[in-house]
Amino acid sequence: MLDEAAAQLATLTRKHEHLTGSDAATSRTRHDAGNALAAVRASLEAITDGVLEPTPTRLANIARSLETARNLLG
Amino acid sequence: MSATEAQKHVLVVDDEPEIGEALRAYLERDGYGVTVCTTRADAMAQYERLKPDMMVLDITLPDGSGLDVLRAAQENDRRTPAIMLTARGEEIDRIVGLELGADDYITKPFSPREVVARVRAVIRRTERPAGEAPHAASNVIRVGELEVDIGAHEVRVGGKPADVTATEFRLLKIFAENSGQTFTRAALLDAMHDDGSIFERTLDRHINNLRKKIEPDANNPHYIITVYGVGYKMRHA
Repeated sequence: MLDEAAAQLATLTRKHEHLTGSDAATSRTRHDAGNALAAVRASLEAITDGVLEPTPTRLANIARSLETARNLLG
Repeated sequence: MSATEAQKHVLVVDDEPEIGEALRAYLERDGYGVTVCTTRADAMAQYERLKPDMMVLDITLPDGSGLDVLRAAQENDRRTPAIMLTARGEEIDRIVGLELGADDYITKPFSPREVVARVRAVIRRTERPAGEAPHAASNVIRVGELEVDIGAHEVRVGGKPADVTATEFRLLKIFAENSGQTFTRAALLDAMHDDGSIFERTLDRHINNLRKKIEPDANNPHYIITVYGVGYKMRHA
């Protein structure tokens, strides 16, 4: 599950980097997606580094944040 | 961190609980005390209660701006080092934060390892190493009453410490090491090895802030002189 999440994170991060535009809606999307991706990356790295345990709650939160980022970035 | 070294306390402010949780885990592993807040109100209260050694601040919070926390911290008697967490496209917030005295910023999505490395770096450069003499003569540049202590990363005016930000110190170091030399704004940015976080127009703001801290009269500068149509220079040592 973690490998799959890492792959999705990489794909969505690339989409996030290519999100251009300065209108309010795009700015909001960029901000919210950035937050969701930051949450995923923080949790994934912490679990991979053994700093946090891969509890069911944490894994569910990673899945939820990925879903949020996917919905925002398409 | 050695057992004899006093534990540093870091206030982490981010409305994403997962980010706070991961940063807490990494920082605690490194020996820091950590308090995590998810709102501006809680952050302001915890700042007052804890007087942390360092802050990691998200700009956009559900009940306001992390910049308010930064502003409150800089108005305090003891300047608190801070790293801002910003989203892509929030350049204005980033500029305001740096002008308010933030030491660094990191753009989301970031690696928590990078945040911890930056926290370590900011704490290291904003405190004098244990045991270091406050006046290491070989490393102090004097211009009149102004002393720039390169090794200790300190500035004193008439023997009294001036509380400058990391950016202001970098500027002052360049001026002090090249007193009498005129710098254009572009040359100053080059000399600072700026990564693009400081712009020519915000450079003026940093210099004005620096003048307020080191000049006897900021409106009639004695140390950092404006060379009209060119840039700035420091009076000869």
